[in-house]
Amino acid sequence: MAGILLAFKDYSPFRGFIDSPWVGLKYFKLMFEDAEVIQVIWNTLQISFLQIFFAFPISIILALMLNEIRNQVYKKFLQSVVYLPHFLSWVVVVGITVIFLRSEGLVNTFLINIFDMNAIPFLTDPAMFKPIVILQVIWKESGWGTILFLAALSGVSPHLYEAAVMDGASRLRQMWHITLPALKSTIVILLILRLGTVMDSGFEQIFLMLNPFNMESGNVLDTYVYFKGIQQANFSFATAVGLFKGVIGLVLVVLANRLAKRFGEEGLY
Amino acid sequence: MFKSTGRERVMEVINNIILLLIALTMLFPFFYIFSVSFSSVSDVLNSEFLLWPKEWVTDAYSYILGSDQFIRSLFVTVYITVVGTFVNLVFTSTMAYTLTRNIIGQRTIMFLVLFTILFSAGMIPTYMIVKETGLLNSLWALIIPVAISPFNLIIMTQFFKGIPEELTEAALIDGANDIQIFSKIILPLSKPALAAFGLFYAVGHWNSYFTGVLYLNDPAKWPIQVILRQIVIVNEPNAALGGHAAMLEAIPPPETVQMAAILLATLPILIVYPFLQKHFAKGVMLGSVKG
Amino acid sequence: MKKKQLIISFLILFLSFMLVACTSDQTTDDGKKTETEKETATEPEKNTEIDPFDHAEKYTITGMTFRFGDPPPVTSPGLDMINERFNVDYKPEIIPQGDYIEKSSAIVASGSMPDLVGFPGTDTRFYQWAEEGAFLPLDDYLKHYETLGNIPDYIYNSFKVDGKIYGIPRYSQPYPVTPVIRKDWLDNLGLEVPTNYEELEKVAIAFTKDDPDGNGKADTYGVAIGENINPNFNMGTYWDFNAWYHQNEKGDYIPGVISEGRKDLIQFFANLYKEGAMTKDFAVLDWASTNTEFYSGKAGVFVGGVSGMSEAYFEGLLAANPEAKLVAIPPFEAPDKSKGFTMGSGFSGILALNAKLAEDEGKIYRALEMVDFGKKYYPQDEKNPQNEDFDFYLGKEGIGYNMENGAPVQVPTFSSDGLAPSTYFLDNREQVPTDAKINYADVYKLPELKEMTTSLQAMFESNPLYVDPSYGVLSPTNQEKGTDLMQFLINEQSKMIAGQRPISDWDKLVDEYLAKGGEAIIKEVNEGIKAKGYTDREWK
Repeated sequence: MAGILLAFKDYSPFRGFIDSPWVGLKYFKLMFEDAEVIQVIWNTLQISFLQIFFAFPISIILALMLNEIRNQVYKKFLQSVVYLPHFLSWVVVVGITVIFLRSEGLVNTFLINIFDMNAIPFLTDPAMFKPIVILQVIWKESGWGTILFLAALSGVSPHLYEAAVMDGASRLRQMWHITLPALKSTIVILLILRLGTVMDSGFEQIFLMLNPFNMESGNVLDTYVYFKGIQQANFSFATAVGLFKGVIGLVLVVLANRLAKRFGEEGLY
Repeated sequence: MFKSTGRERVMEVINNIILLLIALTMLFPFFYIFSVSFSSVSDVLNSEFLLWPKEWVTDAYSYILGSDQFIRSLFVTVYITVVGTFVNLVFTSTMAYTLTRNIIGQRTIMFLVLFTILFSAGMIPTYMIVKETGLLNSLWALIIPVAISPFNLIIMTQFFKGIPEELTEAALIDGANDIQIFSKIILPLSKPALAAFGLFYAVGHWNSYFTGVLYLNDPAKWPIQVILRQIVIVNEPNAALGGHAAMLEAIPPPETVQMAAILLATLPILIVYPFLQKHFAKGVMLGSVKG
Repeated sequence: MKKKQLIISFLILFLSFMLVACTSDQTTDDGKKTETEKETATEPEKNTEIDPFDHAEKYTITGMTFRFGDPPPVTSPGLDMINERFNVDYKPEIIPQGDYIEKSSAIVASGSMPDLVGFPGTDTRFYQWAEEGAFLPLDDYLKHYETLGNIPDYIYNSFKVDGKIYGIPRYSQPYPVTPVIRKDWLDNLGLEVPTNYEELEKVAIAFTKDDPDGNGKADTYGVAIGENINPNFNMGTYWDFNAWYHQNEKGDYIPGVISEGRKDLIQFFANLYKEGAMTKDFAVLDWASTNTEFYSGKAGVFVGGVSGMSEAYFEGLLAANPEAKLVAIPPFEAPDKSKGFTMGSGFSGILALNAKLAEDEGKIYRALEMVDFGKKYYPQDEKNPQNEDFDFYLGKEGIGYNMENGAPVQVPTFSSDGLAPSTYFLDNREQVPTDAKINYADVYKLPELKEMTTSLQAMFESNPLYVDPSYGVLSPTNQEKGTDLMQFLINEQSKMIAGQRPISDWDKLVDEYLAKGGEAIIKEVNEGIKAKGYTDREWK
């Protein structure tokens, strides 16, 4: 973990690790002296939690819906299709988003011609940034997110369903009493892990979606580091921010794990 | 079979319809990519939105396949994906199994694993390790450093914990050792999980891009994503920051070529999926047969 | 038997744990490795005894640089030719431009910087690392070399660090990239090439509203512009955001981006934006899409340069608009009566030598000899197999290139198969001497493109170019904050164009800039300008 010490030094590869001077908390101060940083951290947290509240449950719901499909061929087809977007890189997804949402794009043409509305500046309105980013994540990753849940479901013993049918339980009741509990531990684990990374919010996607107009609502910690640190090979600054992210993540994971245990779940460790 | 009430039938139909709509929104961009890749450059330039090629052309494909680089990189990626995924599964599953046994310090180890997720080393320390271990410019540099994803390890451990203990206990009484239990009981029961993780890892390898450029000096060894990247994102110089001199140097290839490259680089990994799906479906099928 | 299995399973467990640990653990003793570097970063001993061109000893020479196209293979005939000619074991690493900053940072930070390192022209790491003693001062060596020794001093001066030359500049022609306009559209509407911003505004609006392509559809507009207000459409140095031309009340030069000229230009854009006469989504369009706006025949005004134009794009334009004709817009006369564009800095990249080379002077000479050769300029009438150096450079006639109509044409696979040594020189841009006569149109095949290039060249030759006094002036504050501040200004000015921030805020914006570090930058740059003896504005 010696690399973490870089955060407290003015690291220069030519002076070497030992000879680079200690600067104490200089880079942490630099980070918090910047008025932007509070806004940036707030943006990061907002985007992460919006993802947890919206994108995460959608994967579960999608998995449950897929699980209810009886026709195996149709089910296989649907499964394959919902995984597809995951394979596209963010460059492509953002590119397509722009084609759809630009002021002369498909959506605005539609709004203007059919509903007789004014064009909506989707790409430059700061208020639109977060919803669009969340929608992109839902579109791209929710299908892929079903994989683990479906794998967990495949382990459910068929006897349980048989017994439930004997007892006259409806499909909905079966879902509530058998399927969901089978997913519970997977959901808890994934949530805890996700909490550990709330300070990450998809660098590439955000970076590509940013423009001068939505900067204030879209700039997140990762892009901030990129603008301030990486472009100028400031290794110490980048390490300091990484360390800060890790500490926040650690605190959240430990808390979430405690909470999970209190509610009778097994937790991570 | 189940007997469904009328209300449940309605719900089923609604469920089907919603899923179909979801599937369509997900297919749509692929449709677009497909159409553009088979269109002529001027058609693409002159229409806002192409849903179907006005005239079918394969120029973009012959352009891409015209150089050895693309095909060669495709093979490199296939190799990394196959070997890498195998290595991943072996290491992750053995370690996950060990973590389910009650060994001393298990919680500590788990916590350490978690630690690695939170405090990931930056690019530079990792690069140094790869360099020191002599893996630089070897394809193994793309496999060994990512042999175990701590994230997948944790989840796989959970899956293994879900296997009823009676089974392993019975085996222990029969005198089986850990290796036998692992290979005869745990692995066969975890096929769907293994398939899922296999898919995760495989896609990870398939899409891995930056490690390729970082660790490999020889362009002949570059995986397909590096090539794709060069075609799709031409990293434009930021003119605001004085990149004027390079402004005209960095003009990217036409959109048709970009789209064709995306399709060509994505198709092979999509083909893998049906093979894995067999294993996914098994558990569920068992259910419906008996039900 | 059982024991053996146990051991194996233990081993597997152990190994797998190590691997997880490895992905995060950072226990490399980077200190140890770089200590040796420090010792060697001293002044080279001056030893004139050595013959700079003696090839008796074989050296291993490593290097890295960036490239826009595909990198060549690591073993090839072209590389073998270099090894033989210079008696070296040459190991160049050529990295795609987009990944260069990250990869080269990793290589350098891990303590294994190669002998030769390339930097893009705007890369501040060069100055940072030069100050830290990473590079070899070259001042005493350059005189031995035909090409390196004849590069004008003003270019070397522009990137000196602490008074020393730490790198070799990569050539870039002095002519900037400037606005061009669809002549065919002007003709269709009976308009003239604009000579001031009011006329340009009228033309842009006419291009938007009067159907210049005569197809009966409102599918055209005036000015194609993309993110970061790029291209910047300065019609002369007075409006150039990048040039230090304007002076404040103290008589100090100030950067163009906060000048009155820039303010007028932003007002001009804001008018166009309101009229729909420039790209509506300029804030989100990348460079590629901005090009598409113009080359698809949607917009009527864009930029062009005398070199580096894409024939493929131009063909695309002609395919859809066979009548398309582009001409350069000559510079406008500014309110202060000045007229002319800004001269380029003369270089687009820097190649530096590792300070470690000081250990072996012979190796320095050999490396520089190779660099010198890679940059050699051949006049048009010497670009043929009769010139041995040229023949070697392109990989011999019949293998690396063929003569067609008296001009060399490289075989299609010259780069992908590594047939030509030229591909492997880290800086393979020929250094055109200041007095060389070149016809920029020669390299193009399309007659329409030739025509445009000729019109640009004629325009540049008949107008003076402004010599920016800030070239070669170092400002530590600028190195530290300049990029951020520039981005900040560009972002705010984008908002002004789109009407999201009033232009009446201009003075406030300038004050914000000054407070955030602009003040210090201006002070430092002006000290530098005075130090080099630049007083009155210079035009060439």
